Amino acid sequence: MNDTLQGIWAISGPLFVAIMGMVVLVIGLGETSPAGRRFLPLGTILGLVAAGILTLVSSRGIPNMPDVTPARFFGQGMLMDDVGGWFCVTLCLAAALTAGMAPAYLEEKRINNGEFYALLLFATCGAMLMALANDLINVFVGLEILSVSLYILCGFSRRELRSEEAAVKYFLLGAFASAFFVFGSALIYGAVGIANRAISLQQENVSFTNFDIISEALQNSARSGMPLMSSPLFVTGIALIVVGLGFKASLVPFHSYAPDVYEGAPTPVTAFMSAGAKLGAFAAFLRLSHAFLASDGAEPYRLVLWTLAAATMLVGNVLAMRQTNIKRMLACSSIAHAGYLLVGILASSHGSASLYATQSVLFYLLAYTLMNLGAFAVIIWLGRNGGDYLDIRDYAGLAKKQPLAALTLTICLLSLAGIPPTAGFFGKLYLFMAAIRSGEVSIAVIGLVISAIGLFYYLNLIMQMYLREPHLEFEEPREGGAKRAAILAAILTIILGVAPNLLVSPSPAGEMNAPPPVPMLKTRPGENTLERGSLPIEPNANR
Amino acid sequence: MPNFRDPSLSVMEPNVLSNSLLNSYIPVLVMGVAAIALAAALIGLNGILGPSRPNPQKLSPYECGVTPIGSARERFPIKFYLIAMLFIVFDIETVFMYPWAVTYIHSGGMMIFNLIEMLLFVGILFVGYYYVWKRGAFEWE
Repeated sequence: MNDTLQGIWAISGPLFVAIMGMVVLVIGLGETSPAGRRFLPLGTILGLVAAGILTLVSSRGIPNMPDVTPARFFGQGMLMDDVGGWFCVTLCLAAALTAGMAPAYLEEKRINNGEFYALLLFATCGAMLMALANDLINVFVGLEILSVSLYILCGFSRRELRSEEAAVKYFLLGAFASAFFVFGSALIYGAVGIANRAISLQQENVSFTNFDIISEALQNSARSGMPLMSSPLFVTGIALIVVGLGFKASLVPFHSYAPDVYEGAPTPVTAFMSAGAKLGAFAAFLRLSHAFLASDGAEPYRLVLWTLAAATMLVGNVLAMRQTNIKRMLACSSIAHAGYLLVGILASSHGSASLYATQSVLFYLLAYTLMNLGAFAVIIWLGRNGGDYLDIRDYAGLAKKQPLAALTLTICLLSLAGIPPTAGFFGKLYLFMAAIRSGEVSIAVIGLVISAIGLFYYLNLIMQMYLREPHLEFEEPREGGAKRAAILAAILTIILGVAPNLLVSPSPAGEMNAPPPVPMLKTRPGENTLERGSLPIEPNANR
Repeated sequence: MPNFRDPSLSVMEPNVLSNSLLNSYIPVLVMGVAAIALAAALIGLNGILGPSRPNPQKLSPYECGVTPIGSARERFPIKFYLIAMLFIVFDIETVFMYPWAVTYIHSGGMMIFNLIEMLLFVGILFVGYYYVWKRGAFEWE
C-alpha cells in the first residue's frame, strides 16, 4: 500500500498531465466563447508547468525512501531517476511551447477545439510514461498512448486532404511499428525466461521484460558460457524492438513516412511530433542501451546502432538538401538529428563513457526541442489566413520585412546547424565527445563530416532571408502566442549556448582528456542505471 | 472384499491416467464433449419439435440483417459505425471489470485499495462517456 503511494508520487508528473488532459477535454466541450477558448491553451500551459515542477520535485527524492537508488515502483515496472525526470521536464516544455504557438493557427483553420489540447496532454503523458518505464511492456503502453494521440492530431485539420493523408500514413505504418515492438518484447520475454532456467536470477516475481532483469540475464548468461546475445530468440527480439523504436524516432531506413507526415500534419502538431515522439523513443533507447552496459556480448547491438546512426545522419542531411518545402526540410533535418542522437545512444552502451554519453543525449534533446520548436513557431508566426509560407523561396528577404522573425529563425537554424554560440553547438560537441571517449571514433568522424554537409541547407535558408530581395510582403503575420514561443525558444537556445553548464555539465570542453567525472557503474549486478543525483537536473550534484 | 488401496494393485492402473500432465486436460475434454453434445441436442430438438414453414428469407444464411449475396460495396448509414465503435470501446472496458470482480474476494487487506482502483478506472471511463454524450454521439438524428 505504502509502496503504491510512493509510486504514485514518483510518477505524479505524468499522472497530473493525464488528469489535466481529462479536465481540458471536459471543459473544452462547453466553452465556445472567445474567453473560454483563450483559457484552454493557458490552462494547458499552466498545467504543464505544474507537472514539470512536480516531476522535478519528485525526481529529487522520494519521501521515506532515502536509500533506494534509483527507485523502482509498481513491481519494478516503473522507475524514477534523474534521467527520467529530465525527459519529463523536456517533454512538458515541448508541449507547453506547442500549446503556446497553436491557438491563432487553430483558430484560423477553425479547428480550435478542446480536443487538441487534451490530445496534446495525453501524448505528453504517454511519452513521459515511456521515459519512466523500467519494463518493455510499460514502454509499450506509453508508446501507444503517445502514438494514438499523435495519429489523431496528425489528422486534426480534418477538412484538409493532406492532413488526412498524413494521419492515415502515420497510423498504418505506426501500427506496424508497434506490432514489431510487442513481438520483440514477447521474444525477449521468452529468451530471458529460458536463460533464467539455467542461471537463476536474483530477483523474483519480476517480469522477464524488465530492463534490470534483461541486463542481469545478459551478464549472468555471459558468465555461465551461454551468452544471451548468441540466442537467436533474443537477437531477433532486440532487432524487432529497434525497428519499433527506430520508426518512432524516424531512423533510416524507417524514416520514409516522416517528410509526408510532417508536411501534412497541422504545423503545431508537426512541431510537437518532431520533439515529443523522438523524446519518448530515445528515452526507451537509452534504457535499452543501459541494459547492455555491463555485458561483454553487446557488439552486434552496437554494430546495428553504428550502421543506423551513420545511415540516418547521411540520408537525413542529403534528403534535406533537396527539399523546397520548409516543413519537409525541417522533417528531414529532424531525421538527421535523430542520427546524431543515436551516436550518443551508441556511446552510452559503453561502460567507459556511459554517464557522459547519457548526459550529452539529454542535453542534446533539450537543445533540439528548443531549436526545432522555435523554427516551427516562426513558420506559424509568419503565416496568415489559414495558410503558412511553406516554400523556402517565400522566405527571401524576410529580414527586410520582419527583422525579428528573421533573427529568431536564424538563431534556431544556426543552432540546428551546430554553430556557436548556440545550444546546438554544445549539444553536438558533447555527443561527439562522448563517442570519442567511448572509443567509437569512426562514427564521431563520420558525424562531424556529415554535419558539415548539413550546414548547406540551413545556411541556404538564412541566405535567402538576408541576401535576397523580398517578393512577399508578410502582411498581418499571426504573431500572438507563436511569436512569444519562438522568441522564448530562441532566447533559451542562446542561453544554453552561452552557458551550457547552467543546467548540465557533462564536464566542460576544457577537460578533453580528463577522466569521466563520476564512476560509471555500481558494482551490484542487475543495477546498472545511473546514480541518482549525479545527473543533469542540478549542476555538479554529488561530484 | 479386496482392498482396492492395496499398493500391489496400483500396477494395474493405466499408466496414462496417472500422468498428472494429461490429467489436467480432462476437464477440457469434458468441456468439449459437453459443448458438442449441447449443440447437437439443441439443433436436433429444434428439427424434431419445431414447426417447419420455410420461405426464401428464412432459408437464406443469416448475416446480421444484411443481404448475404450481392455487392459488398453497399452503402449504409455511418451512424452504425459510430455505434459499433462505441460499443467495442465500452464492451472491452467491461471485459476488464470481469476478472477484477472474480478476484476481488481474494484481495485480503487490499480490499479498499482495489475498490478505489476500480472506481478510478470507472471514473476515467465516465469522463469518456460524458464526452461522447456531450459531443452528441448518442443522438440518432
